[in-house]
Amino acid sequence: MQKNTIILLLIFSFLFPLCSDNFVKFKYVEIRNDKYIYSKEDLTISDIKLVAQVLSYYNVEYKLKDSAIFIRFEVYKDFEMMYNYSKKSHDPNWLSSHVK
Amino acid sequence: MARRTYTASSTEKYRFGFNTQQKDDEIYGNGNAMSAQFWEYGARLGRRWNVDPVVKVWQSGYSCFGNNPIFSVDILGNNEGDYYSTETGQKLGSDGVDDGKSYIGESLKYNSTKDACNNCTPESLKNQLSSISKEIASNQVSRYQKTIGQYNTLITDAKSKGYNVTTKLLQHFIDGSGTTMKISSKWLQKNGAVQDAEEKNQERFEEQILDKYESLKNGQTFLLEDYWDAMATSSVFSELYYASGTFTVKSSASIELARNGENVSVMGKVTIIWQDTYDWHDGLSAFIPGHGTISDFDALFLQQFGKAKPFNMESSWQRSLSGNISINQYWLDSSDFNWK
Repeated sequence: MQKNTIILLLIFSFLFPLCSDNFVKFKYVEIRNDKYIYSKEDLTISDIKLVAQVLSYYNVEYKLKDSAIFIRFEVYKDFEMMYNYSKKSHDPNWLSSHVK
Repeated sequence: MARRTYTASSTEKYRFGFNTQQKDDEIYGNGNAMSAQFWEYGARLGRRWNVDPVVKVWQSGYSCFGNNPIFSVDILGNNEGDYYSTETGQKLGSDGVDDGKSYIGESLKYNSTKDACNNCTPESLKNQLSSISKEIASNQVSRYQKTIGQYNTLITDAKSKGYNVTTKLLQHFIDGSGTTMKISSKWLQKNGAVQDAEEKNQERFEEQILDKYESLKNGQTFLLEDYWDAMATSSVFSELYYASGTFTVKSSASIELARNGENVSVMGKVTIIWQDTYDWHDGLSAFIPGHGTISDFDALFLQQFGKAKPFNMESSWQRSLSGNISINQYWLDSSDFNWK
């Protein structure tokens, strides 16, 4: 992690010591009619493994619980990043060449 | 039937389900609610939402198909009974009551008689339907001519205003070849929304570089190969809004980081692919100055009854990245990236 980021994090951690957000269940995001939407389908165990690989690669914090994968709401609400993570978790070429 | 569902290769395009009615999957999930002309139907309970305005003293006001959904059909959602195809005159289903009553579903909206007619035979219905079909066909022809006329006016108007790309695309849609259209990358790169989407992806690559460089040891190199997608909508004041509207910009990068002492050099190439489908969505519309609000349904009508066809649009170009990161032991590191 860059030093600039560490310094900023330290400043904010002093100012907002109780800042935290909740974990929510990961859902695939897809494009339908030019809009991002969360998929209704639940992830299978094999899907979860692939999503975990993508999230690990980008240092995104996640938790595995009750056959589901949970991420911070801050990440979950960013449709475009979620779409990119979803797309990469379905891309065998990306998965084979991006192992952390 | 529980756990028995049909999934079409493109589920988005197939909207119909039980009793030929349009599915409302947003309400209760896949296949659990339907819309007919006179009701909203909950398939899990087999009940309509609203009370049947026609009182049938022998059954509940919420019942459908005379409580016999296997034997009966009810195309409009107003009355179960003996139904005949509007195209072939063949019997589609029955309410099982030998009362001599027959229905022809949607076609009856063109008929001033009641939904039910006594002493109707398949033969008489077939004749009746033949005249209705001719009337429908005639209406469709006149509507098609009106719509295509409107689109030709749009093309002429766009041409006179110098909207050459829009003109070309609309004409390509009406011609109906369906082949992919290459869009000028120089023209696209002038658009603010395209630039924003491209920059968003560039920032993502820069963040990845800044996350990685510190782990490099002196003399070590790292090849960053990745891609990012960004979706954007062009401004209503730009021509691209009428040519595409919302589109996707995919940036694929191959960037090398090399550490030499306290310096990390960054060199790489990014291929940008701009893409969109020239298509229309039922229920949407666009305001076109001088022409008012044009419904997407008109374009879909041209697709259904003319030769108009949606097609893919794409364009690609490359950027090169050069940069440098200076590592400071006692102060903040500095970075500099140049995209060309």
